[in-house]
Amino acid sequence: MGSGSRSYSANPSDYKLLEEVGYGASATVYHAVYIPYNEEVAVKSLDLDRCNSNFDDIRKEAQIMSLIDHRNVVKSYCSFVVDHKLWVIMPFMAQGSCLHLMKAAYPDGLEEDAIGSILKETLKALDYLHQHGHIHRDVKAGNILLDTNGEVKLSDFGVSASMFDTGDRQRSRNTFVGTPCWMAPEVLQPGTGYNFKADIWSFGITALELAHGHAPFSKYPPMKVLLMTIQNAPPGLDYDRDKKFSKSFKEMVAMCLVKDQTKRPSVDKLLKHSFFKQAKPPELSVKKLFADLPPLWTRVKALQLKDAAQLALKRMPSAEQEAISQSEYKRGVSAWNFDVEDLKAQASLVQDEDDIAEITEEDENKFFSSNRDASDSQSSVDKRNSDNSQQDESTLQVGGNDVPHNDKINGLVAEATESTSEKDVGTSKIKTQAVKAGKTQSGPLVPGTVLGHYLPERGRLFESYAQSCLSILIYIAPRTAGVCQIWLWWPVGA
Amino acid sequence: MSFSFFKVSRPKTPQEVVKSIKESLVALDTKTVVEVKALEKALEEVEKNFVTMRTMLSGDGESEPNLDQVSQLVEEICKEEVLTLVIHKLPILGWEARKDLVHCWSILLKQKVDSNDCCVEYIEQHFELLDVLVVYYDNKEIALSSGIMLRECIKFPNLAKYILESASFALFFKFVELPNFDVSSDAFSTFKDLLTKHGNVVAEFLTAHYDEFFDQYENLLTSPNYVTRRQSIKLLSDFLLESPNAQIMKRYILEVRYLKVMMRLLTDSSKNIQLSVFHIFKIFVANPNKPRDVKIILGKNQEKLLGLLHSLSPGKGSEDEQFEEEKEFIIKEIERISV
Repeated sequence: MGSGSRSYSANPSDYKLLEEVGYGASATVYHAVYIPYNEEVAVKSLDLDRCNSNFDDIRKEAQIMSLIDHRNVVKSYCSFVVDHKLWVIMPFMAQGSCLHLMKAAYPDGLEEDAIGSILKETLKALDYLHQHGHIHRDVKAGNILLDTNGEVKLSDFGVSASMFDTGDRQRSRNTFVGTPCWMAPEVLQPGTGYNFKADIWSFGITALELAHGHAPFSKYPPMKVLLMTIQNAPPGLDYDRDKKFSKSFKEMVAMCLVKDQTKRPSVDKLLKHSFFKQAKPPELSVKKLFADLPPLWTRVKALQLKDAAQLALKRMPSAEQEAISQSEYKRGVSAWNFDVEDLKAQASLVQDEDDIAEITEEDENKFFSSNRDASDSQSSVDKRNSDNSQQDESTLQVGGNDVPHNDKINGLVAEATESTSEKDVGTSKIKTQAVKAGKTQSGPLVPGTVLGHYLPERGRLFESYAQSCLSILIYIAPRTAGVCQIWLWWPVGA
Repeated sequence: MSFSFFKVSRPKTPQEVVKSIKESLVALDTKTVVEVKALEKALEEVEKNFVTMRTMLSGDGESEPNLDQVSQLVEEICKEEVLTLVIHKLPILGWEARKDLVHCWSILLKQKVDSNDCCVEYIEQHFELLDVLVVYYDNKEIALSSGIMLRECIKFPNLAKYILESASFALFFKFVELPNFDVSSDAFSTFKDLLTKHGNVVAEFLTAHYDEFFDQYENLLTSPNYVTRRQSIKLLSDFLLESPNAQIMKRYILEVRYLKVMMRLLTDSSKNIQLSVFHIFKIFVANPNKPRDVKIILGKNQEKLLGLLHSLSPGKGSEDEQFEEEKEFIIKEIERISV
């Protein structure tokens, strides 16, 4: 297909926004109508001013989404800028995400036959993505969308704010940059990055999420989840209440949730597992799930109100919220890189809770208070993230076509060093200050391989200005100004 | 889908592969294009050949590519002028074929034959191909494919230099504001690579075309499009503060006209833009040899500038020690100016 698809205009007035069907800190998703075709679409409106870094990640996501062509992957028809917002036009999935659905009607999880169908369709999507060199990086129920006819599509490419995400997850995300519940152990370790097998781990966690209504460890503060993922045995379907699930389902989950990534199956192999061989077509098992439910926007509204109430309960100061939602953009998955020792120290501040399965809503207050510890330590984690973002960035882009090449980067470094000595400002004091200056300029949230190398140089330049003000004149005399325009300049009404 | 695809046959030699690629591309002439059936068949043939090329260049996932064959293939591709053909036929190609081509393109360019960048040399002898790729940004269907191919090309300084100097470079100022975000942001990304990847090439270009370039660049900085403003101010600090551009920067910060642009951006409704522009504005101020008219503008707006700077902060949670230091320095500098 691809070239044969219909084209959609980049003109906002061609779209009539209807109800809100998804919301997050920096993105809102609307049910909308594309007027020229009188067709239902979803419009994801992303607040770009909340994004601190450059737009490379967003560009890549927009491009991947526009180049994708598979029935189980949400593609974007087009995207364009409206004021501070980026509008991404996508097919409308009338039943929202699996997470949504569970929050609204199945808080304790779905039946096995529905899970089987949903997972199988998701796996087909992953198969397509992996074959095309993309790692999804954010497989979870909140990113698996459903349509009224039972169609299942995987959405959201792990960079910009999550699409149909809502409910409890949102809340925990507000106290941290994304919950690490879905992240593979190797992703949380310093020095390693995402690989295709990390998607398989997340897929296994998603299976548990669909079976229980929430991801394992999801009630714990993120710091603790990180540690538990790294240190504990992998979660599985082995509680008493899991007795209802078949042996093949349990076996499939166990195959995905192996800590050693090399022992995890590929998508290809997983698709051949007996659990998926028996899976029903989604129009039989998934479609019936929404038979008696109110429309999506009503469900969303209810969840939104519930969420707002819970947020108010926490009484988070708004400035703090602002800072957190800003950092939301670098969204865990793409930026994590932790020093495990430090993590341990931080997690030891967190209260221990015994059994995840036992935790009920009444424990929420306790959960909030421990979350505060986690959010207090956030800034220190941020720092580390920015220090390592270069590394993360390069691992992130595996399979991309325009990965910056190492030889180029080395070239730049060499250049920078050379000019430093040339200008005779190469004392160690200035060098360290220069590096600091670089960070300030970009803010700590900027990922980006190339930037990381440019910045120290820029900082050094500024430093040399300051120096020149004191003694060393690096300036040539400015052109003698002719007749100066003496007038007061300032934009009217600014 | 033809079933011949699956037939097991003797693997083709690189020469044979190139021959069939060439023939199938040539078959995409104006005559076939009007005949729906004939076109379909011709496109299928190209697609099939590109898959063969891709497999030969990057393996099939199980076996590694044969380096000897790769080398022969690249040599043959250059000899048979296939690069010219693929670029000219790009708009007619099917979706899968374009994708395979993009995949092969970066391998082809990087592949050395007897320590020569065979394909790069070919493009150097046919520079107009680069102009064609640039112009493709105007074609939504193929913009992203040609964009990736273009960025692969400009990794080589000579090719980047050609585009900078070429008339088609001016088109980027238009392309970065195209309505479709995926296309405009891709064009911006190429534009950015052109201005940042090869310091000395860029410095030479900016020196030779100073007025013309910054004149056009001002349009980006003052664009009504938020994304254009934000990206162009960030990019400006990315290349202007690079050491090879030191002389250009020194010239730039003497100009009241650009100081005004920066001041206007300091009052932008977006905090991100305000923060980015600070890092250029500060050099105008920190310049120990400010021209008189720069001082006058700063002095006349002293109060307002100070108020703005005092309230400028990167926000909670960021590491702002150095920023605060710089800000203090700039505030002092502005306070010192008396009109």
